[in-house]
Amino acid sequence: MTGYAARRLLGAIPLLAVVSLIAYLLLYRAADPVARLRQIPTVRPEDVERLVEQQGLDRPWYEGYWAWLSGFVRGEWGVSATNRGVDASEPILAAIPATLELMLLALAVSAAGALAVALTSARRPGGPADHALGGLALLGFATPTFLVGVLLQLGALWMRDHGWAVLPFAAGLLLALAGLARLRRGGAATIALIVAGAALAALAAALWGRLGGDGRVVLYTGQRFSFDREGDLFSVDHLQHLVLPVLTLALVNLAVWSRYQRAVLVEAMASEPVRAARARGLPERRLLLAHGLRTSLGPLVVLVGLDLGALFAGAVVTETVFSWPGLGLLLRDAALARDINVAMGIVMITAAAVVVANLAADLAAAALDPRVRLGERPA
Amino acid sequence: MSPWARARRVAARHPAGAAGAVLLAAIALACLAGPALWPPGAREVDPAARDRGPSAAHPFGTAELGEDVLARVLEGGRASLAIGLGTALLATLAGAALGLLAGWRGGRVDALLSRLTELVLIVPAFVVLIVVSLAVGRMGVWQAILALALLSWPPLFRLARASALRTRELPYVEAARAAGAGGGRIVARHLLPAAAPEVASFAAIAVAVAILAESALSFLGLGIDPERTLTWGNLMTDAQDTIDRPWMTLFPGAFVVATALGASLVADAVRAALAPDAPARRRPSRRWAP
Repeated sequence: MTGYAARRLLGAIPLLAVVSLIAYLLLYRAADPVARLRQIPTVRPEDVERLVEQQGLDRPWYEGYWAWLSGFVRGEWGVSATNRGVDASEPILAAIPATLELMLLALAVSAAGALAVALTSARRPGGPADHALGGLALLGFATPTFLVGVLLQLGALWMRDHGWAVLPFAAGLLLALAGLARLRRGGAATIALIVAGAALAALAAALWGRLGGDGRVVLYTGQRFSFDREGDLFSVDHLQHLVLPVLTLALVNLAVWSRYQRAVLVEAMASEPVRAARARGLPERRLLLAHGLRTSLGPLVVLVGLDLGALFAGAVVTETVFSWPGLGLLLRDAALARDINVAMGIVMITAAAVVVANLAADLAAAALDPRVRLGERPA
Repeated sequence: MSPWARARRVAARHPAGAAGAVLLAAIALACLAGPALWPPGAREVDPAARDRGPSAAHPFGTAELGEDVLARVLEGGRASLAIGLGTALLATLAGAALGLLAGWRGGRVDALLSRLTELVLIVPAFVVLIVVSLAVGRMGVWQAILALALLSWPPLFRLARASALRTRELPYVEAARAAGAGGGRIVARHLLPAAAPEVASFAAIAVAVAILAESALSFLGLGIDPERTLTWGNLMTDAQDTIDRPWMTLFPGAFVVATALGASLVADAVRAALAPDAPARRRPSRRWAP
């Protein structure tokens, strides 16, 4: 396995080199890296010229690329036009913890949610729950990420002004509706669902005034939490700031992951071993959890790995909407300020992250499913 | 059966897909009709009615300088729809052609093209879009279509390639080969029709993905310049202050959602109607801008 991992990582190096060359040509040759510096009145022209010479921008592209590459390998990623002219690697490295935190939390929440939704759908494919969840997934897919974020913000504000009793109220309503949907099947569970839902909704409505908002809605961050002090990381304040961005990313991921996992589950439930187990008289619930779920985790892990690399720098929109100080926001700010060195650094770090995430996902899938052979490419 | 009757039968069997098609057609017609439907100009300034919420005179409210948001949404829809359709068309043509070629020829051609898709997929698409926007300065509609198509073709390539790999082993293709049919003829007459339904379904999704990606890029202020062309995306650029003026974001946003939803519904119906035997599970098309 170690050998396989090493071969995969080595095999990715030529790809990364090609990526860096294309990115270099686009960023340093098509765009002008020092345009921004020339506009700042306090930057002396001779300093700009020194930078141009240092980065090899006045020489042909292959010499310039070589200058960039040798600098990149040495850890000198070029001056950041913003951030008071420190090396580009500094703001990038500083933004990584925040990104990792948001990404991993969102990953955990979305994966758990996707599994729950997929299990509910796959219990009876084509049933009412499956149809409803499928429709919601389509809606989720069609909604732009920033719209999700903005709607969550508006909802949070509404709750601040009108009380958060709306949450238990909606939950009660949903429970009651779920009970009504299975009314035809009857049974004590159905009655209990309806009664509990109605009671919860009524209770929330009765206490609406008391459950009022305390005015503490957390929308924007902007602030850098220190990852050196442990108290900061687990403080209530910090976690509060994470709720809405994590929810945004989770909803966006959920729409895609849950449908995929559902398809895999349905396929697994129709497979021979599961049908044999069903014929032996195992209860459907156990079939779903012990057999279906177990064999269908691999594909989801691979998909999550593909998305994870993209989330690393790709959560640009979520981080922008909530001012979360991660790589995505840094990339957006760098792009708006034409801070080329920072943008280039983020491109390279992201590409590397994609390679590592895909490899990790393949290894995890192989660990989960002994049928998967490492190194074989599915058609 | 006439094509019309066939379409009606498909619509009756897949009501959700028919609803999606109607939704798309309604949006497209409204955007094309534009001023004929709603007379105020998209850039008509009205200092007396700046930043107003929805009202009878301005059903979608007004923008910063008193421009009518409904008129802006209708005008922006033209560019957004053009971007979605143009991207899907280009990406489908390129992806299907290269995919069939790779699947049919196999060997070195296949390896090279597959390597190329890996190259495109190794950097997240949205990051590439940002890099391209830096390289070209402010994008126009054509640059946006080219950039989006460049990033959209790999999934279509994989689909067409996988289909060609499956089909070329089938007896009727072998029979055609034994009868002396040339490569071009087999690809055009046998492999392409076999791949077409799935590719068509994916192309409809590509429309949604492209519109969503453009709107996200423009939302960040890195997409199409609103001074030159209005799109649904750059209408929402000022969403930082959505909290105070939700109508400026929510109405264009609703159009994006409706279009993407319509395209996805059509895609599902096309797949269910024309390619029921295709593998049920396929790698889903991902959103670009989380």
